[in-house]
Amino acid sequence: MHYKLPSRTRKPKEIPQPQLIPVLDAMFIMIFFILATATFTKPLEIGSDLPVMRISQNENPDKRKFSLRMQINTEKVTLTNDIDKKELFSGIWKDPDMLKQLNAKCQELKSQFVDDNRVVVVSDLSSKYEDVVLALDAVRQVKVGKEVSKLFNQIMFETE
Amino acid sequence: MSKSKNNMMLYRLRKQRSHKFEIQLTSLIDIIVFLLVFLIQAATITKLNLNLRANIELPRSETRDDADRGITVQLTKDLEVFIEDKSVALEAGTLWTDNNANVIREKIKEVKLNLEQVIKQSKTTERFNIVMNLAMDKGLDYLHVKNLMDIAAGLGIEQFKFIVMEK
Repeated sequence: MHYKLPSRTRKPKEIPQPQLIPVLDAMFIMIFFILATATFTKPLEIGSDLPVMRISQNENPDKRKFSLRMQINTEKVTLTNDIDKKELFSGIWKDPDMLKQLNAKCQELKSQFVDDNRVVVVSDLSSKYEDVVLALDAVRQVKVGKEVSKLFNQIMFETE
Repeated sequence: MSKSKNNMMLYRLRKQRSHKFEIQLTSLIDIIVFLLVFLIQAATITKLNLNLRANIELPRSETRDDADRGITVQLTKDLEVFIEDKSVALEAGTLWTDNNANVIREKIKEVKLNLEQVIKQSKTTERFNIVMNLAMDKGLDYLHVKNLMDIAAGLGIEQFKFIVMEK
């Protein structure tokens, strides 16, 4: 077998290699900026478990002993027992602890009326939507550590 | 050693030293791992595929109930209305004029009828409640909620849900 050495005067053919590392660095920086500015929204819901309610004047009075009603306006939140019209709680929005106090009151009422899950919500038209959601949160559930216990989570909105 | 054998050895050495075509995958894999960590952390497994408008800031809530499918109505801080991601052309000025309310009602009714047809055609035995999902900017008044609830009740939509963000 006769082998001929490659010629020293002719340079070996260079195999082109794409330089990926600078491209990857650029991609890395772009991804970093995109992730830093992106917002990942996880949609959650607060539902009215019962249908939207229309109350007429001729509605039969409730035979139960307790029916929780929450009234929201721009200044305060009030809880009343719809049966005897007794005011159970009143708190002003300006009080930073109001929502905690509202939640504590709901826990107390829930311990007395364990089987009752309903709350009728009435709000002023000028109340902020965010305030309504905060009040619903305080009435619906209580968070103890990682556990969430339901309070009055069957929400009915009074429309007329 | 013969000249031929010597050449052969040199050839083998050069062949070993010759550059092979290689793609550096290590950096690429690092980036993919980095991306995966972020995506897994942010992954949502909710049934509702919400395409939230840019000028809506949802209120935050302690609730942990994942949002479910329904007729999605979005109301931005500029009082633009989107029903199922489609903008609703309304009269300028006050949002809740009689004409605007009728237009919104008709659009929601149209979506509801389409949804009912889809449910009927799917012949599913599972009872599917049509709900209205409201994604509204947190700074707006309760007035808008009330008006949308009235429309929902009038159309026989059984349930009404507020879409919120995690606190």
